[in-house]
Amino acid sequence: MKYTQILVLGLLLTLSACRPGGAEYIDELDIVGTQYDKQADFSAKHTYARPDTIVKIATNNYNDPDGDGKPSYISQAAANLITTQLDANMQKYGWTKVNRNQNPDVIVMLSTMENTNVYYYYDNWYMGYGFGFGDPYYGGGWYYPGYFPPSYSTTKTGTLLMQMASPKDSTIDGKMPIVWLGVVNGMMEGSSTSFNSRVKKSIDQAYTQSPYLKK
Amino acid sequence: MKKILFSLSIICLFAPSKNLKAQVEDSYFNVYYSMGQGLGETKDFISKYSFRGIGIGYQSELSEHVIAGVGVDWNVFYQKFPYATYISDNNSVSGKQYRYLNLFPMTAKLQYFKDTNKGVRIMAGTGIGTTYLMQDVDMGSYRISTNTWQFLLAPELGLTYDLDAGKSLLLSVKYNANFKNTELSNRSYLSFNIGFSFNQ
Repeated sequence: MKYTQILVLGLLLTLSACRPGGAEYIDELDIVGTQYDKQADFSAKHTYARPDTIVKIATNNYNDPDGDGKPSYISQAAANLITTQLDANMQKYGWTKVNRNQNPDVIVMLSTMENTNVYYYYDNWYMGYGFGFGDPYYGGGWYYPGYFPPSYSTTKTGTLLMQMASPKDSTIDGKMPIVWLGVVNGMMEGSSTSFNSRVKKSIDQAYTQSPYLKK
Repeated sequence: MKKILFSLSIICLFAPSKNLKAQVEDSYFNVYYSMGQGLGETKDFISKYSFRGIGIGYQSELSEHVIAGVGVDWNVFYQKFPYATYISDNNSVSGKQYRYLNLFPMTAKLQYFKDTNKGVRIMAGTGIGTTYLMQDVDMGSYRISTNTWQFLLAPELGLTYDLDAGKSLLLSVKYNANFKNTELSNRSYLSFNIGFSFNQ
C-alpha cells in the first residue's frame, strides 16, 4: 500500500512540476518603454535636432572607452537605420528637423547599450549638458557627458535610448530637462534583416504609444 | 509574519495529537491532482484555467461525523498575453507578457461527513491557514517577482468512493479565499481535485 501511495505522489509531482510556457522566439522579448515629463508643453515645441552618430555605451568609461578622448559610436550603417526611422516618425507627427545651431525646441539624443541588466540612473535631467556642444576639443561633435554607468554583463541584449531634451527650458545652472524618453530593448540575435525590421518596428512603437508628441 | 504564526498555531491546534488519537476511528492519507480557476482579481491577472497542480493531506476521524486534518496544495497558473501597451501614469511599456502564479495553500481543516451504504462518503467543511504565493510577470528580458503570504479560508465540498478496503477515489471542490495584503490583491481561486484517499 505504501508503494502505491509513493507512486501516485511521484507521478503527480512529475506531471505538475514542468514549468509552463514562456517566450519562444526572440522578437517576443522585444519591449518598448516611453516616459514623458508631465510639466512639458509639447504643443509649443515644433523643431528638433539630432546628432548623426549614436553613442555606444559598452564600459563604465562611457565618455572615452578607448582613450581617444571621444565616446565610441555604433556603425554608421546602424546609426542611419535608427536615425532614418526616428526622422520618419518625428516628421509624421509634424515636427521639423533643423540644424543644431538653429535653436531647436528639442534635441533628440541617441545611445545604445549591449548588455542584460540595463540600469541607467535617470533623474529627468541631462546633467552637464552644453559642455561639449560645439566644443572644438571634440571637433564640434556631440558630447554625451550625462549617462550614468550601466551595469555590465555579457549576455547579448541591446538597448536603444532616445532622450528628448529641451534646451529652451534649461535652468540657470545649465541643466536641461529631458521631456521624453524612449527605451527599446531586445535580444541582439537573428539575421540582420529581421534585426533591422525589429528595430524599426520598435522605434515606430515608441511613437505610437506617445500620441502627445503629435502636432 | 503575524498572520503566518497565527495560521501555524491554528494548524497545530487542529493537528491530530496523542489525546485525539485515542478517539480516532480511522486516518487517511490523501493525494490528488489539482486543477484551478482564478476568481475575481486572480482571474483579472490570469484568466486561463490551470491544469497544473497537486495536493496532499492527512485526516483523522474525530467522531462519527467529524473529520479533521491538515493539507498542502500546489497550484500553478500561467498565461501568455499578446503584444500590448501597458500604461501607468506617464509611463508606457509595450511588449508581450508572461504571467506566472504559483500558490501553496496550507490549511488545517475540519469537516462534517456522512457515509452512505454504497461506499460513498460526502464531506463538507472549511480549512483555515495561509498561502505562500510566488507571482512573476515576465516582459522582455525583465521579470517582476512578488513572493508573499496571504491569509486563507478554504471551504470545501468533497466525496470519496471506496475502491477497496484500503483506498478510495477522492473528488473535491475547494474555494481558496486568499485575502489581500500590502503586496498583492486577493488571489482567490477554485480548485478541482481528483485523487486517492488511503486508509492508514
